[in-house]
Amino acid sequence: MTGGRGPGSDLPDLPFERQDPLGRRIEFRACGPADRGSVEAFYASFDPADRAQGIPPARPEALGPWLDVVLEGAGVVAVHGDRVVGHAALVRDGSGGHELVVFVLQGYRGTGTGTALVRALLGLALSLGVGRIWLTVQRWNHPAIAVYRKTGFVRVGDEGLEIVMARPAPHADPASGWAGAGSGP
Amino acid sequence: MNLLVVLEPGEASVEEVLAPLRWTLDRRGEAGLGLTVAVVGPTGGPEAHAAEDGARELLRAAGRPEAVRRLAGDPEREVLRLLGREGFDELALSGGTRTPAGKIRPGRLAERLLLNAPVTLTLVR
Repeated sequence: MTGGRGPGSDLPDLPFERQDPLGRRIEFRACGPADRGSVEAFYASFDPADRAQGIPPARPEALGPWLDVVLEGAGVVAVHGDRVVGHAALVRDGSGGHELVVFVLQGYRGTGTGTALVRALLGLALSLGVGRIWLTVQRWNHPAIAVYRKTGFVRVGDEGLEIVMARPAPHADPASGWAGAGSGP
Repeated sequence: MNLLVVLEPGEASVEEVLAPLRWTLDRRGEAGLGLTVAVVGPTGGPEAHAAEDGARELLRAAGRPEAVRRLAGDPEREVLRLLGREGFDELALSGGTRTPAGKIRPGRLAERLLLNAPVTLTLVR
């Protein structure tokens, strides 16, 4: 589906491999039930300062229930060797849309891994027919905001300490018809 | 010490709306603490009534005076006016909500009072 012409056709098919600027070969593939253990280990390894907006949860006993929610829908993992170094997922918002979350391990940030994860997830969302996708990001998290801009997200709605960004369904042309896709979450 | 607990009825469940008061009663039970509850936002709706009733019940159960106020009008302005008028030295309120994926979404009232309230502020989450 993603190989043809038309909006969204530049989104990658999974799985794919990408060499980062440090020469590491990172594999991007859909996240399945078998990945739960390695995704859990990935999040458990986060430094408190690597967390954003209260997730992943800091208390070990809260990680499992949070993963139940985050792993329920579509997701993509970035794998280096046999280790998960990035994860992006869509969480149903109960109003027909999906919230996007993406995390990259500290040593892999600033290498294009986050952008590749989001693009991979949007490609997966396209094949699944997912509609509107939105996210929140801390106002001062400029690297993350840059990733979201590059992948078609625009700022919507009211803003305070965090920014709400959204993008039309992956199959829609971001350049047109976006006004009808709804505003804030 | 006079502490004002601000409750914001709205889309959240009554339990969530009452959380700042519950937290305060659990953690700040010291003798001599003056405790007042202010329910902000549009008055008269079922959410506002449920919050007021729930607050009275919690205060009664804790053996405290049922000091519950209703603040109609713009929540930030009304809370700031009340703080200035009645000499409160502390404020407690909800820090906000969570997104479906669990991200903290700071409440707009919490953000504004963080910037503008002249007293110590506790954001309960």
